[in-house]
Amino acid sequence: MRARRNKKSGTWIVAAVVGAAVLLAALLFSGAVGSLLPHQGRDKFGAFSPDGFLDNPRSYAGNKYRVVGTLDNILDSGNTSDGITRLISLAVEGGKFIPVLVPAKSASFALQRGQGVVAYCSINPVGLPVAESIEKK
Amino acid sequence: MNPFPVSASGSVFLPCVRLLCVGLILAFSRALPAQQANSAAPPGTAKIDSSVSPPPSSESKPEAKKENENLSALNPSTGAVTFNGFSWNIGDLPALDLRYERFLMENQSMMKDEEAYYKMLNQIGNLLTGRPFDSTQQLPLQGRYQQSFEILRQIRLNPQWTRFDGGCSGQIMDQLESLQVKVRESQDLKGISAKLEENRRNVETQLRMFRLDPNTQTGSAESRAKFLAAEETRHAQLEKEKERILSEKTKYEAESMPGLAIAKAQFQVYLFTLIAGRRFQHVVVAAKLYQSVISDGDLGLSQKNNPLVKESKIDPDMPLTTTSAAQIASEAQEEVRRCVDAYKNSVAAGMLDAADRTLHQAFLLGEYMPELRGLPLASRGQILSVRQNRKQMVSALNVRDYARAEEKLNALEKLAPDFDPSATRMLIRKAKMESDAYLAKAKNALFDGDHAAGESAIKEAASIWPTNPAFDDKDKIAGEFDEQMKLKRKLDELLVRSDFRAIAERGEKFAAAVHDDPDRTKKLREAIKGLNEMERALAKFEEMGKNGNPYAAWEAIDEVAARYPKDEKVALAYQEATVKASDYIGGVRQARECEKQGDQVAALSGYLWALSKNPASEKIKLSVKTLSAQLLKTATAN
Repeated sequence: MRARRNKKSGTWIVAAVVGAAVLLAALLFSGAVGSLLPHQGRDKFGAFSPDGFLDNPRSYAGNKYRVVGTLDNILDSGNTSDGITRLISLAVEGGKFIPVLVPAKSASFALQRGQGVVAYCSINPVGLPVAESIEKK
Repeated sequence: MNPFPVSASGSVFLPCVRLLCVGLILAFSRALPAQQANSAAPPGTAKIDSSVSPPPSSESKPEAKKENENLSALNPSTGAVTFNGFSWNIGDLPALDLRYERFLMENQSMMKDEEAYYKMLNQIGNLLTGRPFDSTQQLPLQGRYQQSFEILRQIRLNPQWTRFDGGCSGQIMDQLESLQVKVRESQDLKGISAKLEENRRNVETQLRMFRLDPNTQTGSAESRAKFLAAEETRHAQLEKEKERILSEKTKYEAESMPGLAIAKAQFQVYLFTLIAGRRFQHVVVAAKLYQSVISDGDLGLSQKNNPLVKESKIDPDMPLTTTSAAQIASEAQEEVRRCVDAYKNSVAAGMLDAADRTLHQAFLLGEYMPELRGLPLASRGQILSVRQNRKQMVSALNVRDYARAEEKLNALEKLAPDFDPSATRMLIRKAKMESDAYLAKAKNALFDGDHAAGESAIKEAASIWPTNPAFDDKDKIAGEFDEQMKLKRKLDELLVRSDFRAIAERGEKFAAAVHDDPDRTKKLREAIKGLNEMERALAKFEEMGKNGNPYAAWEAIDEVAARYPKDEKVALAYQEATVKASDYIGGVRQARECEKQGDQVAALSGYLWALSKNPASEKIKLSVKTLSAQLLKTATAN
């Protein structure tokens, strides 16, 4: 009788461990966790090379890049449901200028010309970098 | 009504003889023109058209007829000279004018010969003027007649005089000889007729003696019967003889009278032929010789119903007798003498225009009269000069050469102070003014670019005064057209070459030349506008260059260089700018290329780079703004 009781308690332990592991995995992969962990996942944004990119921006659609530069100008802006979306230009290395779309939720600070920034961007289908987040450098 | 009644002069004809006479005269009258043309007409005598005719105006205006009765006058439309109710168709007026001018130029020696000839004719007139037993005449009439006839013969045979005589003297001689023969024949027949008349009277006397009563005869009845039968037979013979004599007398009379009548008629008609030829001296001489030959008067040819009168269109009131012919000739001679006197007075007074007209009138009437032959050559030369000037003036007016007409008019005024120039001068001035006015209008129209109106006005000016000296500037007027066409062609050429600077240099001339041409006007305006654009661009190019902004300098010239690549100045500036801003140009061109291909991000990046180089560039700013808006819109839509 006693041996039978021990066998039941061991099954419950394995199930609990597996469940905890699954829960942890789910948390790790969810956005909520990312937001909760700002610096978590930045590794997937590759280094941005303007020369190659400007040769054919569309071919980079879907890629993510960390674009480092100086805020040259706010080219245009428009109201969206979550706030003001801006199109900015970043002066990057090599004397090039890269237009970047900054959705309202992506900018956590007031954008000012001449500011050094790092934009974590994904390239949209027309080849325009869209900042998922933008930080002061 | 009797168609050929007896004349007042007393000749009596049987009706059949009269009809025969009329027929012959008619035939002769119809043959007259040809006869005159061949032989009878003297040289220079105008041909006769129906011999004579009344002046047309005198029929409708009897008062005028009376007024002009004693004046000779020329009707230029018909070529008829009228004098004393008698008209001559003197024919070809230009030819007569030439004869008149030849007369004005004839030298005096030639006239002396002619004068001698006329003196011989006058000698005949003097010989035949006296009465048959005139004590002033040395010879009796018959002798004077013979002498006159001899003078006519001399004229006929002398070639020196026949050229002036035109065969008239010979014709008069022939007519007179024919008349004399007929007179002799007539006299012979009259003698026979008288004898027959005497026989007729004897027979009638014998017949009257047969009024015996047979009862008065004694003897037996048988013997009385025989006597009566013999007497009856004799009576019948006498009656027969009477009939024969009457028949024979009638026959002789019928033979003798028409011959003489025809000869008389022919002579009288010939006299009027001489009148028609204006040979008045011959008429007088012939009439006097006729009167010497014929003592029983004229043959009456003038009656209103006379077929000859109707046929020849002779004034029905004009008696065609030798007397009337001589009277007309004498009056015409007197008229010519009066004209010559008036001419001399006019020349003396310096009134050469009036002198010319008077002399011309005298010449038309009395071309063959000696009075005209004695006129001095000097005065005739002056008249010729006046006449030629007048003719040249008229000729110039006819061809509307008003400058020459005025020149001749001025000369005429100097030569003949009595000539009234006012009407001609007014005509000339009016024509000149009209022509000049049209020319001014043409120039204005051309200046305004209205070619149609200009050409029309020039045509009008030329039609009024074709020799207007302003047309000597025809090159100038035609040149205005030519210049216009040249300017148009030049403008077309410069437009093809896009040489706007050359166009602008002659901009005003081109503008005037193409005023009526909307297409060229538009192109000219575009050319001037383009040049202004280039100049503005070049000015900006220079300014930007001075400011050390080669990119702005290039941008200033880039667009006009693309639009006006043939302009040298722009091309040079563009070349210079291209060297200095080559990297900028490359970036902008690349951005434009990307924009064209729809690569908005690369294009925007390129424009942003260019803007960083040339921040003042409005074009780049615009491109950046446009592309930014497009990208933002696309991104937010997704």
